[in-house]
Amino acid sequence: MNEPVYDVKYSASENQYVFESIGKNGTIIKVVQLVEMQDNVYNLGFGDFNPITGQINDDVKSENGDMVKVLATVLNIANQFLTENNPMTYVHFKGSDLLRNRLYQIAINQYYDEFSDVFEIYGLNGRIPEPFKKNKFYEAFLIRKLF
Amino acid sequence: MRTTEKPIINKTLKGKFTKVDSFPFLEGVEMFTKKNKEAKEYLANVILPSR
Repeated sequence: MNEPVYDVKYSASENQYVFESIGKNGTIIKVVQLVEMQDNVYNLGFGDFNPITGQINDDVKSENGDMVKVLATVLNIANQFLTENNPMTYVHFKGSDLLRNRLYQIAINQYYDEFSDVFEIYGLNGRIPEPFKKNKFYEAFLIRKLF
Repeated sequence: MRTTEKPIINKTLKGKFTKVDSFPFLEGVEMFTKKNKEAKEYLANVILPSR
């Protein structure tokens, strides 16, 4: 990943990751959590923590001017999680809307050469995942470490 | 295989990861409950690739 990424704090016991997005709207606390959906399949949740309401919003548009850096950090977190966990583990993720899904797609396209050396990357448009193809729309993604 | 992967992973894993015990400010906070439920239902119908 040649894009700069934010430093991350994480709780391995909770599979929670926190980093601060610093941009034109100030500092925004970003939270990522990986939750097991079934054996060896985790869903990646991602959103902004609002310190005033004490809630996480995964639909908010931060518009902090650092979208690429934030997405690179989220992918880096998935990378770190897979590196530290069972090699059979899948991470599933999707954007909260079509635009965000498209942004994930762009980010994977951008890092595909590096990621495909280390991970199996699948696109999902239904029940059967297919090996990720650049410039094809997917509704969700699955990644897993290569042996 | 693992030895050849290491340089790639190290190259890929940029940024600093600091381990903490927990995040007290997240205690009791609802964490992606709706999205996780949707994902679980979605993934239940997905045929995962076999290795």
